[in-house]
Amino acid sequence: MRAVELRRGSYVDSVSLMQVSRRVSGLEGVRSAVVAMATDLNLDLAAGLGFEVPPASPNEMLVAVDAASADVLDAALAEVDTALGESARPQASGFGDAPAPVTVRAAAARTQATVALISTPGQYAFADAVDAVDAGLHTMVFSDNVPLEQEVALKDRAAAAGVLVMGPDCGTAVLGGVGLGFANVVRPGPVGIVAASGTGAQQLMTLLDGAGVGVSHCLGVGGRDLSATVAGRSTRQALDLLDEDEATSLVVVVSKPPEPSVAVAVREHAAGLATPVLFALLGPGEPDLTTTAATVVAAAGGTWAAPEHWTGAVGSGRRAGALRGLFAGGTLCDEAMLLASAALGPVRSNIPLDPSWALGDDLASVGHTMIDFGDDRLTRGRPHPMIDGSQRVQRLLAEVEDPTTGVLLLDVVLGLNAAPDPASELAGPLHAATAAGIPVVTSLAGTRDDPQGLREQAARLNEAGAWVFLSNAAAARCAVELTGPSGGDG
Amino acid sequence: MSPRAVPCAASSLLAGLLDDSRVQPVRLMEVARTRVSVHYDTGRDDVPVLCVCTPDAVRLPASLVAPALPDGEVTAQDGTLADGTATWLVVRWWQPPRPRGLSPYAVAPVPTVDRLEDLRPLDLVGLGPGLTPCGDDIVAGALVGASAVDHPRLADWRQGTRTALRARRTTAVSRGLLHHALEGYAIAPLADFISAACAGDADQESEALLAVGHSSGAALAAGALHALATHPAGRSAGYRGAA
Repeated sequence: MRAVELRRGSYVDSVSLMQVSRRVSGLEGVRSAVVAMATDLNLDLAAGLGFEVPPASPNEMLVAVDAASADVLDAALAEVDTALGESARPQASGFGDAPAPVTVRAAAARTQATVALISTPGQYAFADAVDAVDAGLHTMVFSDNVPLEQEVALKDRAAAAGVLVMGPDCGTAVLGGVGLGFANVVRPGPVGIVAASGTGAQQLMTLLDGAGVGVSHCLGVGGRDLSATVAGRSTRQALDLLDEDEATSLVVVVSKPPEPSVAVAVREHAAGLATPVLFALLGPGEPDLTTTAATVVAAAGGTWAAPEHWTGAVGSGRRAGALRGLFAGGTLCDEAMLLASAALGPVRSNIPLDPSWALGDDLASVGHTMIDFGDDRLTRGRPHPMIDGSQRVQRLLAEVEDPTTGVLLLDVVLGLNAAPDPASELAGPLHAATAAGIPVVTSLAGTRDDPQGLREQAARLNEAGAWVFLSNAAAARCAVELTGPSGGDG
Repeated sequence: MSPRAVPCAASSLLAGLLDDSRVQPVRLMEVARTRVSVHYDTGRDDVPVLCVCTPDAVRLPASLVAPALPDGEVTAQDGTLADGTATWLVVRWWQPPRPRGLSPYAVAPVPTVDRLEDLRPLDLVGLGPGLTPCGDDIVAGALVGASAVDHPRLADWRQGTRTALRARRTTAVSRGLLHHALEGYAIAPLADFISAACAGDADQESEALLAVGHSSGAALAAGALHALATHPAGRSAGYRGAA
């Protein structure tokens, strides 16, 4: 039983709408619900869920509900009205309060802010980001899908204004201990990080924190900054800022495989700075993130010990199967693929290391396979898998049913703005996997101060039968070993 | 119903206390309270007094900054504080200011601050009314200033202060302030003032420091300037009445 409505003259912000959708979807008997502004993206999402979507404009609100019965449908639509009514209720404000600012620059003028965070749909982000840069603010652009030429123009404008652009598609930053986006709660210390990779930075930060070495700042620069077109514009600027920072005595640059000529130019730039700079540029033959963390700890005068791990169940019936990696973090997926492909041969993926290893559009597993659920194409209209892991859980259960699955490898990333209890969400499916004889290896990135509780999360995953590694590289090596040389044929 | 979670920002000086609370919970007794802060005796040598304060308070070096204050006795456990109705959860760490390596060669004149003829911690600690007696503020300012410029009398002043603290001659809040001043840690307005004074212009920073408390800011400034202006390498007009 389905209902699709378009409502005119209603506007509610996207976060509130997402909460309304989730609240209605959670009602018993409701199979799916979309309550969103009728943008192309949301119309596609509704169509993908099987709703017949009428022509609409982005100024209208789409309400689409699929329920088990007419009664449930009525109740769900009533709940939509209730929830929208609650979210639209104006906040109490005092008589004579100034109206809320409507531009970044106006907001900046009222405060002593030094940083702006832009998180609007990518097609609209440029204007607000320019406004922030012109207001003299360091600007983090969380938005993805920002056109490349806009990124270059924005970064040139920022350089001229003497401010830094972090992003676009910058999911992680820590500025003076304040986490923005997906960030871990780390202690202050001497290491500054320049990150063209969010989960790469998180892995590095968590390993450093575990070894007792703190972080001064982590400046994200966006995943494309070390591409040929962007040419390291923000990376060089971030290096200069950290070089001037009194709290930073050592800098690490972390990135997915960069454009080689850009990497050379950035290394030359770094060589001219007073502060030593180490590089963690993932790629074949390059050190993994854990090895880099050990180097950084030694350089910072700390004592390195191999990150902890907890042994899990060893499956009995699937030893000849293939390795299947299901990741929320793109760089963690990259790192695992680099290690696995060196030992096992081709690893198919939606973010393949080699174009010939690309999965089909249906993302069906073929031999050794690793999927990045945080990839743009899988997060359109959905929360990131670090917030909502349901899509990955469904795939995990499907992999358990697949007789060619031999070993499962997953990442679990803790920290601010990540899901409150990802281990509990995974526990049932992990039990199902181990009961089916499939060993499950997890890499757990988090710090002792992260709100989810690192030890509690590790214990919960381990109780469910999973191997748990605080090092993603160690997790990948364990998964490769459990897969064995004969796995993945076919 | 699970207790309300209150996010807070912790000074890195509290790391030992909060980390140890994961192994063994510890009850902390309230020893002082203001509208914007509450202070707890920890019984520890590394951080004798823990302060929980709101964002509009002046942050003591060992503070936990939170939007709401605990009520009465608290327990530190699993890296958090709890008072039975809420749990204070660290979501951010911050490094308290610690000016160091500064040069006292051209200390800015600060005519609004009185000159001290001499500084003897044993005579000053505990002298005066309030949460942080005026004498303690002077000593704290001098210790931080001396630490910032590596003053030759720093060792003497430290020894005198430690002796006075061992005798518990002052308030609990002041013990916390002085304990961390011994290592050069300061409230931000004092650290900014010392850095600016050494750079030759502290008009703005002295205004901000003098606004701290009823008399605390002026006393901190007097102590700090005494340290800067009496450094043998300095050639400062220093402050009102200085030679």
